[in-house]
Amino acid sequence: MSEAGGLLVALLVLSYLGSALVGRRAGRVAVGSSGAEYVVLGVVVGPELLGVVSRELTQEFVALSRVGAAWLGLVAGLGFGHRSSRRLVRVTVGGLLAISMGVTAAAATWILADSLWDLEASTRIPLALGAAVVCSATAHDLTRRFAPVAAADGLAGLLSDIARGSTLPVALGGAVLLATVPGHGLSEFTWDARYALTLGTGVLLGLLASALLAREFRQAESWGILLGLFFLGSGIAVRVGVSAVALTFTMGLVIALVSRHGSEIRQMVEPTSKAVLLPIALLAGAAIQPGIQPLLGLFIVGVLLARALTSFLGGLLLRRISSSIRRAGPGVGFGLLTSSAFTLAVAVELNYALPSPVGPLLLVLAAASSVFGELFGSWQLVRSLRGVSEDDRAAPVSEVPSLHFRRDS
Amino acid sequence: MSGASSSSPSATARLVQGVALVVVFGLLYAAMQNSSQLEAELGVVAAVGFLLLAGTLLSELLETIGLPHLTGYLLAGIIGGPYVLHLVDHETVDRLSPVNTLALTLIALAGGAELRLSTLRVVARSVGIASLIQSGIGLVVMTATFMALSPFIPFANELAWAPLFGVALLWGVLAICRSPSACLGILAQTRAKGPVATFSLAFIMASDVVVVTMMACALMIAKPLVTGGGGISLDDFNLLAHELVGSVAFGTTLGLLLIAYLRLVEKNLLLVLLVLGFGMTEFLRYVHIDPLLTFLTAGFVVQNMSAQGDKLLHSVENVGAVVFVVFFATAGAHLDIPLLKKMWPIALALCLIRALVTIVAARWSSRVAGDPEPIRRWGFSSMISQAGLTLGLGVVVARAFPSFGEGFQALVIATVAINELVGPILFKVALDRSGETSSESVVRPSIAPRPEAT
Repeated sequence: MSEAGGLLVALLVLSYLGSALVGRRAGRVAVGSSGAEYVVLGVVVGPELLGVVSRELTQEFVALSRVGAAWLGLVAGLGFGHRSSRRLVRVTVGGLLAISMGVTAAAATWILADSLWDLEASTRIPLALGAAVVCSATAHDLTRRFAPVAAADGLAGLLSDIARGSTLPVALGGAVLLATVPGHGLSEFTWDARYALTLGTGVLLGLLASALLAREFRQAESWGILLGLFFLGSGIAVRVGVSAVALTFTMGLVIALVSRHGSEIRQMVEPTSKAVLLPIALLAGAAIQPGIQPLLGLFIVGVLLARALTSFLGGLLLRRISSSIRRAGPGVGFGLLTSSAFTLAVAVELNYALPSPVGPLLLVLAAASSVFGELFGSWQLVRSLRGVSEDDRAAPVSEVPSLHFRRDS
Repeated sequence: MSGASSSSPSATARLVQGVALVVVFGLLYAAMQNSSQLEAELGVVAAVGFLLLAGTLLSELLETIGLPHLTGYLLAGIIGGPYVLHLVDHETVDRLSPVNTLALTLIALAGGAELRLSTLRVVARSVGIASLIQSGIGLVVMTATFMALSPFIPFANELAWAPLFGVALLWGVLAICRSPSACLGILAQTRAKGPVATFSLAFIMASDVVVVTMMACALMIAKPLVTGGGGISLDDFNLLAHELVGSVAFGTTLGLLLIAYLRLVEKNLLLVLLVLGFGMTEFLRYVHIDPLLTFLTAGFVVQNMSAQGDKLLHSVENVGAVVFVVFFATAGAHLDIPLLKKMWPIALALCLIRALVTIVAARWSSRVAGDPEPIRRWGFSSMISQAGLTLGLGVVVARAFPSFGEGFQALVIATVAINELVGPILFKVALDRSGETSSESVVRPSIAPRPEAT
């Protein structure tokens, strides 16, 4: 069996393990929502440490990584099934929070990239924008553990909605970033036209899916149409050089909002997210280049501190406007440091789509943010939720993981 | 592949499907015009999506005129392929070969799992007699036909008698090759239940083993005739025995493992099937074991040595619903249309004679076996299709005999193209006319006759 074939089988086994982890706990701690532990595993088995997976081998799986990342984008988009005005407000708050975290991350990146590496503006601009994209979103996967016992008005539900809203700027930012990168297949269009084409194609595919699946819902047929539209959209996006993740995210969003079978489609697709995430995370970890720039550690610490500070201040602000969050204590903002699978997916796409050193730097940043968020943010989030007696200790564990967005009752 | 539905789509739904089909073609065309030169793997992704969508939509539209879904998948591949609209190029079609590997794994597993011992006992005599007569008559007549038509066949018209006989013998074996994928595809779509469906499946699956064995013998006989040196080597028999026995042994072990897994774990079957399709197939080829026979045996063991057969079938069906569309659409894209244009007279003649021989042999074997009327009338219908297995054996011959291999393979491709298009239509018509096509949309039952029906 060829080396690539062996790695493919290993990735399938990893997918299997990921599927088996759906709805389960690892001891008292929820299974990582961003795949951070598998990113770390990828670094360990990758060319920088054990060398089990060489850099050339990771190149053979670029297509798999990009398609997998686009699939996570679709899953994220499908999660938007709500229609109530209250949830819209929460989602908007989440979007604003993400933008503020992104802006500070971008500012920190701009300053540090100039002072540490003296990069040209033409490199610093996409780097700063990319840092804004990968450092803005927060995860709500962990709050899913508490959802069975948490009311919609509870802190877990509220944070879940906020976190969901934070994915929107990530998707849109990623689309803008890739629309501005030179060397496109759509070079005769302006960047805003490329951006519009990205989102417009996603809308078109989402409407097509909704129209084709408007009849009675048959799972086998639905998979064929959904997968066909997904592969067509993501393949075309990568071929012409726009953001596949943003395109599929938009497609998922449109399906969630327009299709009469949106909730069935979401329930059909969501369980696949873990199985897709883990191999992608492993490949991302193996693709990381820690030596891409000198003093990289200092850069990462600086950007993450900026993110943490904004997150903390955002939490303080949210405490002033929400009684649920006020009860959670002053540290609730740190609980928003957890990173999502969607962010990692965007970072994977940027790694391969943007020229060096921007792409690889963003991947390292996203990985570090993910690990930091899992270690510190998760702990604080659980602490905050238990502090308001939204205890998961007696909660049954749902079979459906991550990104699930409950409809209003 | 979608099965029969409980309600036909409305005119609006069909219109939506038609519009969607046009949009899909248009999107990929637009992307092709504006794409940069990226890695080929990324072009494969878009191609897979296109073939899957176009195949699904075209098959739904063609359903209105009674054509089988398989025809829709093939046509989607032909239209979008490298010889018509060029939306999917040659390199992309070649890169889709892993899909074929996976599809053949699923086909073999499903084929084996459909063969219940209770069914086989009922049809064993019919299938045995049909196999004997079809193989014998088909081989003799098609060998003679090839020799008779050799003046019109470019690579054969100057061969001496001995090598011509060797080549004709190889052609005769290929002529009795059938298509398990087409058979299963039509049965899955129509959810057919009855004697014709039962007989067809059992015969087609059994013929796989027969053809593989006969091809090994034919190669052994043809080699000294064509190359003009040496005698018949028993080494080839040894290799064949190793392949057959090894396949059954591996398949049995795999089947037992699958039983244990289905019984104890029962989850993530999709991933298990993917690992089998991609990982196990490569390993089996490495140790010179036939993957098709291995998975056929595994499916058979699961069905007949446990209560997990229906679980396996259900899983394979779910995965196959998507994989088979791409498989057949890729086969359509692979059809060499210019070659068919060049060789169509001789290819058509060979196909027509093959069909005639098949019908006559089927009627005779049915009379000898005392088959019921539906099988007598329509039993031949599943035997016309040819697809991947025939093409694969054509490649084997081409590699074994480089002197005429290219021309031989071209003729194989041309005849398979015709049989691949016509065969499934014929089989579906037969199932419809014999009243075995189901209109229910329940979870697909096995096509084996229920105990009370026998």
